[in-house]
Amino acid sequence: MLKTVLNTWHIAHGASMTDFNGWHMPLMYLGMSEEHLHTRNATGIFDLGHMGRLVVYGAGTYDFIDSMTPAQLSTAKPGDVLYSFILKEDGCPIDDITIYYDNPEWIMLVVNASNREAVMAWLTPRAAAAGVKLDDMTFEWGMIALQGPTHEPIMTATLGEQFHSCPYYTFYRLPESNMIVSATGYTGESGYEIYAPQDCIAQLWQTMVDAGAMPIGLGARDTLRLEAAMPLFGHELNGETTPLEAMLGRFIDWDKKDFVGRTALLKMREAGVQRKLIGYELLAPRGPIARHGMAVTDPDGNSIGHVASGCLSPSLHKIIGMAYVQSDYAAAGTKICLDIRGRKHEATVVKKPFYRRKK
Amino acid sequence: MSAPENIRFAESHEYALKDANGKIVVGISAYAVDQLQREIVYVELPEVGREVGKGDAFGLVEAVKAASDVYAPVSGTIVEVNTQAIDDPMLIANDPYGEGWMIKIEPTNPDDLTSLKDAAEYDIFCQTSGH
Repeated sequence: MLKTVLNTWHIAHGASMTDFNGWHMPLMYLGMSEEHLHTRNATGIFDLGHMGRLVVYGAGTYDFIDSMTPAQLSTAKPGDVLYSFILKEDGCPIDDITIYYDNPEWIMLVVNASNREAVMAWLTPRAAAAGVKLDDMTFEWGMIALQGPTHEPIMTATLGEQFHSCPYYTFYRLPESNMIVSATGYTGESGYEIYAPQDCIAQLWQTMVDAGAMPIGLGARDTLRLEAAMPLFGHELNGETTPLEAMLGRFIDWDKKDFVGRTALLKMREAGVQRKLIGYELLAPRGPIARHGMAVTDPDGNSIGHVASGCLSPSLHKIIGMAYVQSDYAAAGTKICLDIRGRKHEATVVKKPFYRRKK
Repeated sequence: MSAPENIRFAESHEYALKDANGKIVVGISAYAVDQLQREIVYVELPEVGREVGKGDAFGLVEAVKAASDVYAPVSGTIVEVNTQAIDDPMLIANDPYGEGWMIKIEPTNPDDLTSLKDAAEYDIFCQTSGH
């Protein structure tokens, strides 16, 4: 199994470890709810060494990424981060990604651990044809996220004068230490993601923990992102679902002349989507959790879709989830049923996200 | 967490403990609670009066990441159900051998209990089975 440079730290600090897409990662340390709430109320720290970090560079980089993704690069300024996709011709994603636009000849893509190899296999021949360089830096750089309302003093304690706050979805590079500081995350909280050479990661991590950040495992990371209604590839997104069905059409730049998948997406937009990703709350305050793939029905029991993700929300004390349903059932307030092990449980379609941080 | 004396365990990680009235108190082991990341968000328990055979699924515990069936360690009739645990499933995680018991069974076969592992055997089983 693949290991991040923090693997021995996690084990030494009592983490329950799990196999996450071939990586030996911490599932939890003290307890998932406790870690979740600490991230909401103070600050959590996450080892994201498993995420894929790919760098595209050289003349032609801008045009290459512009054609490979539906992102609106034309309005991006150096230092912008864009949420986007690597799409196939059918408009369905190989992965959802973040694009770090530094300059027209240097762009970093951060991809899911589960899809890093597929993305590399897709991009490598295309990058070669376009004459741009593509390097997989996953094993050169580590990645740490610091998330939560009290992150600022911890950032300062760790980076000193090198740290300055920057707007959400922007980043800056620290050339001297070869680091990237990015105001991004996957929790619904404010905070940063830091990219640094592998040999700096352990010290950064320890400094942040000593400054008060609580280590958070993948279990709480999942409930945090679910409350924030952020998609997880393999659940809300997969190779047979378009961004339009996932209600992520706002991340598609329809004005640009071409990108891979544009024709298929345009056709789907004109025809209208048949199913949509919705958020739901269980009517009963307590009950079973609908898991990925379980059936969603109308109140009469007719199948109308399936569950993408579900959990007991530690912040809201409700059972929440996201599901794909026929478009007629996607309006907030619609009554639906979840078929959990043969029993029907009433739920209501609600607006996403479930949780929004106080500004 | 230390287990009470005379407790017996099934390989599916339920415990069976004879109470003063000869009824068998059933719940899940502290080891099972650890495997569920010490957090239980939902529990399903049967109606009083149901007959169960040794090894039959009688209920379900749901952790943050997954749900698991729970199996009767002995055959008999369910004579009591811990409704408090239904209202507060974390009782099972916090005190599996005490307030977090799940059901009581009036046993039909006294040999069922002796066929289960004692605490020392169960400890070894957990250490060697790796799950």
